[in-house]
Amino acid sequence: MMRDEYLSVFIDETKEAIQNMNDILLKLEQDMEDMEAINELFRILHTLKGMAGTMEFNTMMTLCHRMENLLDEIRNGRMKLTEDIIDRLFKGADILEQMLNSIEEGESDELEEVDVDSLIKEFEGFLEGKSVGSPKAEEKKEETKEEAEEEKEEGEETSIPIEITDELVHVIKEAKEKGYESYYVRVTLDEGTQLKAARMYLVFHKIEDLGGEILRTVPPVEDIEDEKFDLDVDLVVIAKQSAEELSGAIGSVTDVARVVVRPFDPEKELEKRKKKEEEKKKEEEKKEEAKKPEAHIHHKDDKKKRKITQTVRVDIEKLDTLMNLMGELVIARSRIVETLKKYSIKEVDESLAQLSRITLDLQNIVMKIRMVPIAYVFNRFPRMVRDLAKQMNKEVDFIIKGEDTELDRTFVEEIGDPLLHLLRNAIDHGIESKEERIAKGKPPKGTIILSARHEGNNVVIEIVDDGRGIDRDKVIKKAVERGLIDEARAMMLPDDKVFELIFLPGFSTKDEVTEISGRGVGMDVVKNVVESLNGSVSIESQKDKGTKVTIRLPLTLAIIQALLVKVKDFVYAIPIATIDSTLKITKEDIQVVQDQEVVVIRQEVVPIIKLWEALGIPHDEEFQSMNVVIIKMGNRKYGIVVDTLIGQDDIVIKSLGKLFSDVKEFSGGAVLGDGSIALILDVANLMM
Amino acid sequence: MEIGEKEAVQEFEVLSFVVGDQEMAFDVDYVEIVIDVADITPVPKSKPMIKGIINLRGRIVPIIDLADVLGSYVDESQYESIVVIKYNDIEAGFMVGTVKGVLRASTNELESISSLERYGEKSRGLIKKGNRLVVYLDVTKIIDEIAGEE
Amino acid sequence: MGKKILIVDDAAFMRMLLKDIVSKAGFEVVGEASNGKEAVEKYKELKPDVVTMDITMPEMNGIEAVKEIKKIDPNANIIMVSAMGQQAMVIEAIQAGAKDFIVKPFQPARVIEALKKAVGEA
Repeated sequence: MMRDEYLSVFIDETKEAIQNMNDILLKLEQDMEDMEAINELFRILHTLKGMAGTMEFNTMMTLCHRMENLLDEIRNGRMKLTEDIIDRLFKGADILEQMLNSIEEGESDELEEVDVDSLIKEFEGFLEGKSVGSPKAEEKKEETKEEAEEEKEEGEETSIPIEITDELVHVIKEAKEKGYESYYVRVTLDEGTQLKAARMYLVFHKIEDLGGEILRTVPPVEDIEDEKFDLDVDLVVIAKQSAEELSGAIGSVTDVARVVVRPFDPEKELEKRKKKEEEKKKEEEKKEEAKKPEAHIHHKDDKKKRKITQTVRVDIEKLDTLMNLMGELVIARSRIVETLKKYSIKEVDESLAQLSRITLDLQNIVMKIRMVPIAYVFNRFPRMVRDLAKQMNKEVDFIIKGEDTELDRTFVEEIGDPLLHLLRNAIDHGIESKEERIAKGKPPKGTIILSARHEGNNVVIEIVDDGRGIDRDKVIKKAVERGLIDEARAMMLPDDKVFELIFLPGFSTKDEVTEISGRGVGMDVVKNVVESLNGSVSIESQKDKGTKVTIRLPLTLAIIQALLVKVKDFVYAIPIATIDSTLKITKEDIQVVQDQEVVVIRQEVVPIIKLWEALGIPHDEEFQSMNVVIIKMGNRKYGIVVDTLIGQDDIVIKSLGKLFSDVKEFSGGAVLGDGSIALILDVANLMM
Repeated sequence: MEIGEKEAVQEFEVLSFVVGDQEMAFDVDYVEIVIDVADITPVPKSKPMIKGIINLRGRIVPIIDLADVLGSYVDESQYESIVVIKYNDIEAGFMVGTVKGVLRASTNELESISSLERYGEKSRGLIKKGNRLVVYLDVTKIIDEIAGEE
Repeated sequence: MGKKILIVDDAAFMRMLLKDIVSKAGFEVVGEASNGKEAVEKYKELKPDVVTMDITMPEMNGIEAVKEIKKIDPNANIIMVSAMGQQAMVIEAIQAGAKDFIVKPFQPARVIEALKKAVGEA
């Protein structure tokens, strides 16, 4: 059935649309006059309505339709956007999301627990209660012709989305001298128009047939040719015909739903815009005065147009399979190399080298395919921060940075909840109330910065707030109370170790568990998730200055380069990225400093551990000469003593699973070329 | 089934095997595959009942000493097979002796074991079939317990 | 009397379908052609009011045919019949002088609308 075939596409696109809706609503909350945003929101709802209708999700369609009607009134200046309406629209977006979830779970768009009808009624109520002078409001049927007329009547009110350059002003001036009129034209195609680019081309052809000339198109012609437009195209046209003649001619083209033609005077338009800008400024100033608790959301590149790239939708499962196959390929290659080591055949060596290169390239590409921008996770937070801040009666400036940073798709799925928890903490525990902040001489509005960036082979995600910071004494008190540590030892610990106590299971510093951050997940869950992704999490905090939580994740999860080492018969893997060097030492090189075995390498004292001791493997013989792998972590170094170094290899990291969640020494396992398993050492936890 | 009957008799299938000298069984729904005892790579520092891991078609699967879980001891040489189960995203293999096969039983052949008795806590009851007495183990409980233990 | 239509398509089935749609709307199908070359010949012979022109055809494709017909009659009314994904070719045909296009699979209403517009009835 057609419906099934399109369902996954529908779900994907609707998800995207709802996300866009939320983004735009957040923008509108900052600037209710943002015409471009209102228009975009209208378009999104219009599209959504159409899609829901096609899929026969009628409740969803009706809800979209009501919201769309409301926005139509607003964009045509017959109604004013209010905070109330924005709240309701947010609610609408939420309900759409719930419907989508329900649809995704194989149910329908009918939600049992949610009263969709009453929300629909509320939207109708807005429409009925709007200012007088719009008799067409109750009309439910959407007649395109009628809309076109309305548009013409109210045309003057809507803004013209054309950038006015000096060149444009000049050209129009010259044309006027030759007896041409200049017009702003908006052409809207029928929903469901096929070959839109060709259709638009016919429109252009028509205008040119009349002797007119198109000076400007929005979007640009190249985008129109690539069908990178929804249904509307805006034009600046010069022609000798009247507006009516022009409109009639364009309207005669098949599939054109409506045409708006308006005289266009770039200079006047510029003046108008200036005025509007000033009004907006004034209003903003007014808003500043009457400030209410709310979250301000900044996207660093707010103004930047969304980049359009050509993409293919791929089933996630297929990507996972590809990844697994890639892993198998790497293993198979290792196996061949292993086997051929016994025979030295030159011809094969060359082919093998080539195979290795190709495997590596392929591996890189597969990795890249799996990378998605972290925006996928970050996008949902502005809305959430806004709601939470409102709920907590706190003022928060929420800043997102580096949302273009790419990371493996698997991480994107996993990292969302931990980040959400950390953000909740920041709002709830971190940011003080306005009064408290003022008393401390801080800006009344708190700031939370969520950022992501690449650092070497890692993705670093930081959540920084300028709140009250973590109270060291309180943490210790709680930890002692819970029996997590004894007091004498706790007092000795440096700050960062104290803050680490927060990650222990069952820890909560807030005296009373608030509705927001006290539910279910604790910091221990955050730590567990991050570590299950082979990542790490750390906290820095300063009293009254704020808190910074840093999450480090490996860039790619599955395949790493590792050094294989042996202790007795067991093979272990050490990620190359953590290795500083390897060296051979003799028994005499080992000295003992403060109960710790060390070796001196180039005047540097490096502590060492014997891997068999660290892992509790019985090991009688002490060799005269030993292999040491020097690990470098930040500016700390230590050495791991092993029996033999086997060599370097690409390994595919596999999780050991939940049953080994208590084992900190290993970050996973890898299947080697001969089918045996090597455990991967978690060098960060080996030496405490 | 007659109307008015209070408890309906339900049939179920289990995979039975021997551990030590006792016949035991898992619900077949959780059983993924039965394999011969393979090379087990020990994982230092892990829980005592976990013997290590094996490579099962490219996946890493933990291997559990079932006798150890049940508080008894069976010499490792007596283990012949590994019953791999999957529950709650956890895949795990249990080392067992001889695997006897699938057994069809019904609820009226099932007797409850007091939780105070041996295996009681980790079982769903005792299946009585002729002169066979099979301890019907609760896989989910066993896995949850191992996963939950720190 | 209905306006005269020439249907050009290499698939007999498509011609049948189109013929059915346009006859019901009161147009008169005066001829059919299965390739561009034939279309040009038939155009000369029949002088139809409107031509529906398939794009992909053997011998001479639709775009070439439009160019040839336009040479004979600059005022010829030609509507391209295109499949999805033939955007570039449709644009080429419009440059060559086609008045409009319809997209397969047809929606009868759209076909009629395009025809009526082409003959100035709409």
